Amino acid sequence: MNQKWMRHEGQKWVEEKIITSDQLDRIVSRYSDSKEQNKFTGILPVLASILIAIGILSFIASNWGEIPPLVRLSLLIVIMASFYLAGEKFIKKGNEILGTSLNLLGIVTFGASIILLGQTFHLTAVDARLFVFWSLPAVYYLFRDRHKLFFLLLIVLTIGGQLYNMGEFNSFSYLLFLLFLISVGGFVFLYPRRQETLLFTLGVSVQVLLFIIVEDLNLLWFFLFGFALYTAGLWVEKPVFKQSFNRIGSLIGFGFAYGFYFTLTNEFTSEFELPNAALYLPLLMVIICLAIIGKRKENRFLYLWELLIFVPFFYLVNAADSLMVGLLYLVVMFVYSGFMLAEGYRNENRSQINFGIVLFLLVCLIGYFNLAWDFMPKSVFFLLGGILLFILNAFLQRKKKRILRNGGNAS
Amino acid sequence: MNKKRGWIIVVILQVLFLLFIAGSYYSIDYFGKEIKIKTAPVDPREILYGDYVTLRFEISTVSLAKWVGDASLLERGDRSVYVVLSENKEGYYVVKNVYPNKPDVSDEQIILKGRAERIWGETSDQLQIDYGIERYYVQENTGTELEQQAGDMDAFVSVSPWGSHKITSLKPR
Repeated sequence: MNQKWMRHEGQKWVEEKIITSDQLDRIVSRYSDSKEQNKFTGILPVLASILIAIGILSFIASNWGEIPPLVRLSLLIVIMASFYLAGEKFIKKGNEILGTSLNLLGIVTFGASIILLGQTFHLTAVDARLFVFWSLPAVYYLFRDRHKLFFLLLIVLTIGGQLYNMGEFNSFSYLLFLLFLISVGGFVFLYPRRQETLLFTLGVSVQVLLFIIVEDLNLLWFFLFGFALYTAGLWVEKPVFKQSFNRIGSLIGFGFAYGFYFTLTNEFTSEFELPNAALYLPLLMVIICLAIIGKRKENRFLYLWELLIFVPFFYLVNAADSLMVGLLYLVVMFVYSGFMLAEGYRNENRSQINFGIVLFLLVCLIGYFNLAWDFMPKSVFFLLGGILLFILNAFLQRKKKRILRNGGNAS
Repeated sequence: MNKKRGWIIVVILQVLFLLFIAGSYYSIDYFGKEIKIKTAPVDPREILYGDYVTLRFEISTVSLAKWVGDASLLERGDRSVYVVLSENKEGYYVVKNVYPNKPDVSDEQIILKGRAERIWGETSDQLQIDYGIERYYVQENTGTELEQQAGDMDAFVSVSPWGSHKITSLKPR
């Protein structure tokens, strides 16, 4: 938002006698343009520093073979140290954006140096230790400057490290996971922000999923994790954690319902395997109890429908036809997303309505897919499907607008 | 930590870490003992590192009979092992035994640390051992040349008293 736009908008308010022109002047002067301008001109030096870094690195890379090992070492150290030095200078001068990005380049150079030196000295990585060392300076700068860039870098390094570890050594790095929990988790605990907490929760979930894949565990353990996450959301005190845990946990549950519907209504059901019951069932029971108690504690017993997505209907495959169980999941998803929408409308909660709309449209889409794919000509199928979704979306959006007309809860 | 000066310490620690990587490599030269083993390489490419030749050694595959310890220790994936090598009549070092824990050895024998995985061979069960020296980095696009002659090479490996080791040179046999 800039002053020009504000003055333009404010003029209308003055005409409608909501505020006087004197008040408008005072409001506009509160939002000075200078900070906005800084943001744009601030990006140019950042781009410049990135270009310089690329230039230096590509120069080194192309002449790498001719440089003796010890000179390589000193070159890398000099480059890394100058990034940090320059970054510190600019931060001291008050140019935070440029300083931060130079520090970030310093960290990137540190990691690149480890890799290049490993290559020079014929070292072979045996685990994700490289990424642990690489993360440490990022942890320091994250807690010192509390800048989002370092937060993102840490997430990229952790997830990247785990993926590398999985691809190369087919193992899960507990050390990296621990570092992630302590640094990123500690950060969002100390300085709770919505987006960061959501990213943290996502990061944990992705790593748990990778762990389950690497250890070759039954995928249903991830379902249990999603449920546990959701339940933890009921018990934690901090509102930011509550919301992220609730959202991601529900998404995992919904994703599983989606997956169950697909696998159970298709032919390869014979491969459907249940996890070790002796371990899985008691844990499931405990979590169900905790969830119900948690709901009661919050005095939100009415919202028990939220648990619908976590009811382990998949155990019914032992007793009933798996096609029926699959269809049951479709019904569950319909009911769940319907409740989500209705709840959002009642609370006039914009994000809940949006979440509900997306889920509802997804369910409609797969329901339609499975029902109509076989007997309709494909062109008609897609045409009708598109039109159907379009109409449904328009209807839901209109309803949302009508309900949110008088403001509504933005969060 | 002083907020204004803290970053200098952090930078110094990073520099020291890089120096340590280089130092640990060079120190093997001064304190290590050189041994000779036979090779057999191939040449794939990896994203994170540049061009390198993948090596296999005569000591990379070992008959399960040389495993000294409980066979159940090898059941789940790979685990770290201590390989005891001794010199044969031709001057090559060959595997004497493989241990789950560090054994005591005589002065003529050498211990190499590696990661072993049990593989089921056609005639007998074997141990596949990675020593961490299976990658020999070469300049871009020169790996094939080395690869062609590499089926028959001597690898000279330097082993330090504290257990780290590296390839000092590769020579055609």
